[in-house]
Amino acid sequence: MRRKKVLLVDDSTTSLLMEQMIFKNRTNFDLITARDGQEAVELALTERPDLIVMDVVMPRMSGIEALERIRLQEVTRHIPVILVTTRGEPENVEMGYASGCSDYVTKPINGAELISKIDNLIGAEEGVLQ
Amino acid sequence: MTARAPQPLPSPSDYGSMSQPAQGLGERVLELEAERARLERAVAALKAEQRELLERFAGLEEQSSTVTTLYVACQRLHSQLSRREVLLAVRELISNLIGCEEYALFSLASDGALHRVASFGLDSGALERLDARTGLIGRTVRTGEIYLRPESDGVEAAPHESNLTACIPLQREGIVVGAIALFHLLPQKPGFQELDRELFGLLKTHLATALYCADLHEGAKTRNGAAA
Repeated sequence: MRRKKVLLVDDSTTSLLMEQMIFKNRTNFDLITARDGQEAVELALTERPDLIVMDVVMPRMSGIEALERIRLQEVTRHIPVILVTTRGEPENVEMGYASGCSDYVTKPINGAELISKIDNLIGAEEGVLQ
Repeated sequence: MTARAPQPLPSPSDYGSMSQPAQGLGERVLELEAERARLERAVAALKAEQRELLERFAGLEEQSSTVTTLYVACQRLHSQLSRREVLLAVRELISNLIGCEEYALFSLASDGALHRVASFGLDSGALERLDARTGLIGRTVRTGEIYLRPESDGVEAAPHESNLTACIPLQREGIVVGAIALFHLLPQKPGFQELDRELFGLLKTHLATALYCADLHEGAKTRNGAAA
């Protein structure tokens, strides 16, 4: 069975490393990474990940704009996207949902919460280590 | 059709007066009741064991999360030899792992003043140079103890410290050489947890060393460049 592929997008090395550690400890997903929204859109098109976990505030292209572009493309519009927001205020969350995100988490990322949300979106039977 | 009232079950004392087949059934009922009681005890024991395992799992989950966070913090602090990169790592650790959006990093000068080295989200003017003999930041530097609000110990907060939530002394070889002052936390961060205290402990002992190594390296690079 093909292992699921997750695209992690963050311009912060610390956040990216933290997310990679969370995934490596708790799943057997294949991980790919991008450092901004532009790179995320390109990788989503070429790699067709099963899930994207993406920061909102990034240089070159924000997570919101990248999400809107991902939703416009026929081949990527179905991919679940979890947004990582620094500020969990309602207006930020609403903006994320209006742009088409599947779910969101706030920083500092809680590993158990993130994995639970991923479990809801792409299933626990393949990849999430219970 | 009228419903028949259920017949009461015979009690064990009635079994002696029963016919042979009925007595056999009565004994079977007793056996089954004993079996049910045994199974109920087993289920209760399993439930207790499940609760204990869930508690242990939650504890291990928390430990794993702490170790992962400390590993990431340590890796970020010590994986580069550029002062700029170390300061960027500090900013990311404070923002992304602790959840604080305002901080200032100070170094302690030989005249006892604290000089701002880096800051984020603050009006840095008021924090450019602080007197280490006064205020909560000063007390942190003098005692070498991490300050967490709402501790006060009667020490008056200076005007620029009104939103101070934590202050971490920075030590090199056990000597305080600076401090990090944390102010506003992110809206979704209600307060500090055990994990944050662990991170503060790591910053207390590792950050000054990381900056010292970066300064040594950059100094050596400059000297080598000048010699060449």
